[in-house]
Amino acid sequence: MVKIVSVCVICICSSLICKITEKHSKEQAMLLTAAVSALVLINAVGELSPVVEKINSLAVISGLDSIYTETIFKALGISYLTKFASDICRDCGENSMAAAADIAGKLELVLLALPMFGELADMTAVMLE
Amino acid sequence: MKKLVFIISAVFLFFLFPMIVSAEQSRDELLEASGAKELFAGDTLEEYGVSFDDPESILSLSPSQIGSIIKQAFIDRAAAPLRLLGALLSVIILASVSKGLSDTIGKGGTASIFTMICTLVCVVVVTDPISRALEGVSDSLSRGADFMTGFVPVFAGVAAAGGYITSAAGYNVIVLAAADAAIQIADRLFMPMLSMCMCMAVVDSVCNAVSLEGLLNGVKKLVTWGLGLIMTIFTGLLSVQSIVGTAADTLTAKTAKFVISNCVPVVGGAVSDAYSTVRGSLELLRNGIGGVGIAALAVMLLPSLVSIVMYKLSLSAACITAEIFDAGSISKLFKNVDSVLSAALGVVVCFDLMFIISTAVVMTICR
Repeated sequence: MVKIVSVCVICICSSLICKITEKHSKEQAMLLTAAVSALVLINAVGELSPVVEKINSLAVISGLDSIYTETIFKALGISYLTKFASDICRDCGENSMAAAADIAGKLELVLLALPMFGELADMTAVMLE
Repeated sequence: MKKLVFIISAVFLFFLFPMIVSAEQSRDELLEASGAKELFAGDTLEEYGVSFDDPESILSLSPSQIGSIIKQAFIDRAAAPLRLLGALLSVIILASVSKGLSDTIGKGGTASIFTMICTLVCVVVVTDPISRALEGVSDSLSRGADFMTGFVPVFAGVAAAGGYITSAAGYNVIVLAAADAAIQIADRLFMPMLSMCMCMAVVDSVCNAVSLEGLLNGVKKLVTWGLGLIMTIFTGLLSVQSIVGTAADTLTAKTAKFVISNCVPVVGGAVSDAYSTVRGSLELLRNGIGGVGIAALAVMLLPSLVSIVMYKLSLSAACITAEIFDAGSISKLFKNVDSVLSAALGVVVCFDLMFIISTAVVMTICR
């Protein structure tokens, strides 16, 4: 509870500081936004570990291969990072960079899913034999 | 005069050394000669003392024993579907938790690919056990048809020995043809079609650009109607042939009885009654063999039937959970796979009933 209060306070204060510094130096405001966002994101990811452990234990009980849960968590991580990067880029007014980050994120996700596509193709081939 | 003395001596000698025969003796000889003793009723039935060596043993099978056979089949086959349900529930919960977290990702961007990855995990988890269950269906159909190929000539032979030659011949031809057709259809038509449907179900859930749900439902309807048509034609043909055949056989039997009772002097009536007794004994034997055959086939196809039913239950439960957690594409996958399993279930039930009804028709009509 204390943690979320401090996170919220940091966010609000940083936003106000950004508003003030924006008039004098837009670059510094952007830098502050990126730094605070990264800090909050890292902090939030640390909080996720009990959730991950709980879901992993559930998967172990049901006999689900851990590679699948790992894949979903990795995909979630990639999605967050991509969103984070593209939002920062959009705030900076660099829409093309934001689009590039989105594309990179999508490609990374496709690469992550590629082994499963291979597995699926093998299963399909076996079924159609 | 010499001739008369010879005939009287011959009749005297005939009654001096009588050969004792009984219905029981002829029954055992027929059982041996028909090849019924070479048939195997299966480990499960043998455990309960039911075998082709003693066809009347089918009467000792109580409802509670039948219940325990079914219960045991469910216990043996429940583990894999329940494990699958557990794994699917894990993925659904994981996907919904991730979806809740990923609302910040937004509708565009990587969200669609993330959803597709969750669906893909479900597909990989589901495909392997379901395709194994479908293979099990194919195997059990082939085994059932193989069993019928061995059983039908024996059953028809015993029915023919009981005087129902026309009905037995009709049964033999039709059911053997059906058994052969079952093997061919199962291997060359249904299994490839079900595998294709399974692949379409996977593609439909993973790829939002195409919708194959209508096609899948169409295939399901085609299978249902096709099986219904086959069942109707098969059962109708066999029933009509058996009814007509039985009339001809009854006429022959009555003629034989009439000839015996009228043409055999003094003991004609007794011999005619003995003929009826032997026929009754053979009917009992035929019905016993038929009963054991039906039970053996039912027990043979029971595991794959139970397996499909359990997988269907697991997928239905997973589908309900996916809908509760608003995992649209995952629930679509489960519905599509459920359609494929329904078609497979229809195939197993149809062939099971086809053989059971055909045997039961011959057992009932030939009285």
